[in-house]
Amino acid sequence: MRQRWGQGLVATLLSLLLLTSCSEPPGRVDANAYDAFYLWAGVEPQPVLERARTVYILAAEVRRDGNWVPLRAGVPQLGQPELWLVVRAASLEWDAAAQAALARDLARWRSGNRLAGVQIDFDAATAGLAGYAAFLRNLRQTLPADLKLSITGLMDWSAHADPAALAALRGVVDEVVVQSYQGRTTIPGYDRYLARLARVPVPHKVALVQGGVWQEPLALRQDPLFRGYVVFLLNR
Amino acid sequence: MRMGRWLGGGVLGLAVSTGIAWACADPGCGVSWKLSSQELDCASRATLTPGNDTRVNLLLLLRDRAGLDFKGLAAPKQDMEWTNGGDTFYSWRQLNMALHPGRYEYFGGFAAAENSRAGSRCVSLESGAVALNAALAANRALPGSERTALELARGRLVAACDGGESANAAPWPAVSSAPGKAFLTYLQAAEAFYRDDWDAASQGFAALRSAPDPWLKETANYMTARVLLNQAQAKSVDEYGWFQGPKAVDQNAARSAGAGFAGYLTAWPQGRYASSAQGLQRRVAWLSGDRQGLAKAYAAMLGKVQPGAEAATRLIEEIDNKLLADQHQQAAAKGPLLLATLDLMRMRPGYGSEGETAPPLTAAELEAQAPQFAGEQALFDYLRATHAFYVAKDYKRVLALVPDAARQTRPSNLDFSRQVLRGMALAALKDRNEAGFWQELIGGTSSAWQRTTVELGLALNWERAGKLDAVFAAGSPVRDSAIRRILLTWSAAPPLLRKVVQDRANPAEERDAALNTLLSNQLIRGQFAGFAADTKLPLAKSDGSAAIYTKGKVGDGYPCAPIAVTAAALAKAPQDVPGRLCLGDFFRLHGLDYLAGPYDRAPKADELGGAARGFPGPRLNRSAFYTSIIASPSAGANDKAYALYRAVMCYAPSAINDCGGADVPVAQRKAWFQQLKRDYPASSWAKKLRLYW
Repeated sequence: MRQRWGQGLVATLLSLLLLTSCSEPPGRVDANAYDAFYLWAGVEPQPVLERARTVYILAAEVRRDGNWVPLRAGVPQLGQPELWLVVRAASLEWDAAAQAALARDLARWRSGNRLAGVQIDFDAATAGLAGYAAFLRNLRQTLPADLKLSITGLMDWSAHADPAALAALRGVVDEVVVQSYQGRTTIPGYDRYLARLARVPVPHKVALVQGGVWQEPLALRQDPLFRGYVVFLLNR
Repeated sequence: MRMGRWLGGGVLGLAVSTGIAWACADPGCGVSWKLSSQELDCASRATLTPGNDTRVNLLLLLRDRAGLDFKGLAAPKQDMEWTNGGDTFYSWRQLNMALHPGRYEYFGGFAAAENSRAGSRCVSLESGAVALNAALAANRALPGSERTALELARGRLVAACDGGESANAAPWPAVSSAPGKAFLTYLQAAEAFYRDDWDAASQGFAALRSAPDPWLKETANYMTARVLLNQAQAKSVDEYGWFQGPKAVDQNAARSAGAGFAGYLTAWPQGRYASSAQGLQRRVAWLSGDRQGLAKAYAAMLGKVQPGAEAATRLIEEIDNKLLADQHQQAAAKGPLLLATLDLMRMRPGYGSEGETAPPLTAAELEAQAPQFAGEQALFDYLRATHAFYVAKDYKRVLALVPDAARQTRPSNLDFSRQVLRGMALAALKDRNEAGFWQELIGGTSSAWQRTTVELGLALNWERAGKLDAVFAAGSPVRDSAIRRILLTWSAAPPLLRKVVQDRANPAEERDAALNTLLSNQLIRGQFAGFAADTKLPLAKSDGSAAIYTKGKVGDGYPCAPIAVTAAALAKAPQDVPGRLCLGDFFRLHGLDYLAGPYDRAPKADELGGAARGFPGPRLNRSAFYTSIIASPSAGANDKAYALYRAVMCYAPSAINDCGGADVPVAQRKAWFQQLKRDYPASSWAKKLRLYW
């Protein structure tokens, strides 16, 4: 059906999943071929970061009860690369201390860095997008004007979200980084979802998982709002 | 000044981890609906297996020690389809959410201390204020005015935690009494601690180690070691804010810190900081590369911890992080529980192939462990049988090592694992008593997870034996909705689906799903007469998934009859032009283009639903309808125009064919576009189409 894959897709995916090598064979995400990365908590920095132009670093999480929990041992000092402070959120009901902690961390992360802004990593169900947009609008108003707001997105949004809910993100977030993986592996059928990514009406990137199965879907290159990839690094 | 405990506390973000002892191999994060589990995926089972999360295996073993089973528990549901393990599979997080409802969170585990400074040195800021005020109040020799001033002065510590400049802070109060001066020294040392000024903190606390005030004395002794530990790690954070581990640690300072905590615990074995000091001693052991000491501490703690308590989960997370996930530490593992967990992990396929120091487990190495499993024969035999099953593939040996005990009631996790492994060996040997074995085993199961595991064994057997009817017969022991759903979706043929739809004893969701499977597959495979007849079957749910075949939209421009009427027409004349255009519209409007296509992942042959096929053979696709109608000399002008319009729109807007069948070159799409504009300029379809892709 897809000209790049045809009927062999399932067999190809299955056979690739059986590979166990750490070096990346064709059809796998080789971090060396990219220049933007996710650095999550518990993931050791890799040499590939030295040539990064953009780094998203997980700084903290907001628990379901609204509490802020820092996840880094220290403040990054990256210098030149564009840095994003990422907050993983299990809840959108942040308490005042969490709001204050974000402001405090943004101030600390600015020094010694080119801080681009904050990214919220929240798995908003497709049906809950409208509420999420309202949260983001409020958050945006509390951010310093020179900082950008980014969010992670689920591939399901591109396929099934209400266009009005997606449109509500426009003007609120500067970009959406759509995750193509779950755990350590690319989500099966990712190209089916990404073929519809053009439906997301704000600039978007695609997050790939290091070593995961990947063939660039043709549609991405023709998607005017596509802004490239971010590789989620893993401990090897 | 109670410090965050290392254990699970994430001091300096160190204990934070995604946890699982992953090998480098990348086996996928889905759920494989089968009993055998050699490769780590995201789904753990109710049995001890190499493929389980190491933390799950360790907890299963630990809970057996206290006779704890999972009766009455069910894991919270996952909302992502690719990780949905029904009621049979679960993740470490789901397991703990079920064991500790309201306490353990999907993100981040147990709730953190209730303040925004958790995970940093300042976590103790609030509780420390309470402790200090109590100590101030308890000291009878302290004048009241100094006490108030000291309480207020503690505000400087808050500023230090917030990164404020000390120059801007209010001046320290003037105190003249001996206890007042001692408490002031404490506050100044504490402020230095929060400002990372280790030398000043160290001097201040050292001066108080023999203070007459008992709280000051105990706290200063504990804090002296804390400062040393921080000094040891002072240069260990890199430019990414990453803690670089033991190699970047000042080992002399770490050793001194260890001695300091040991001294504190000797003087105050039940002290207010005892549990923190013990946790930090393990951190010192880890930082100093004292593998034996760490492994010994973990084995001792596993022997003492209450298996059902939160502390057990926290301990297992720490052990997984610091011992099981670290190849260099593994060799130090002590005790049958840790050893068994490691042995199972080392039976994973490809283990040791990534430049790891530990090789895969050999049968000889396992046999040599016999002394370490003295008194644990059932566990040791299970490990041998598991090795025989997964590595040697010697199924008869499994039967010899694990005698039949299928009739026991409420088996422990180990006993249950042994019997399930025996059932798996019977299956591998195609033993004719396999189904009977599962039916015996199912009666005594102790939890929902154990029961569904046996149901899965029985369902796999019946599917392979061509006895699907038995799964759906009245009184069938296979009750789990997810297991039944998989068989209905992939394996059940039309007669069984009809039976399930018509049997009102079945749940409405199941009947609805069966009808949807029946009708959708008939329609996409061109079984039009059967489809038209089966649309008359009763709807289990008026708003269910099968309702589209009687009430669903049939068109959005091109006029179409109800889909049953269209199907009846196609049954008589499969090449009927309006019929095929309407069928194509129905596929498009109801998302049927992808069903049974190359992206629909069918279960593998060894998984549930992978042996029998309810609807073999290829499906129809819209691309073929349109190209055939475009080429047909007898098709009407409006029909041809619509076929051209739809053929081009198959590629909108992604340039990828969404209609099924092979892609055609852009030149062909362009030719269709031009043909529509040239031959049917007056048609609404020509006017509507502005682009091709």
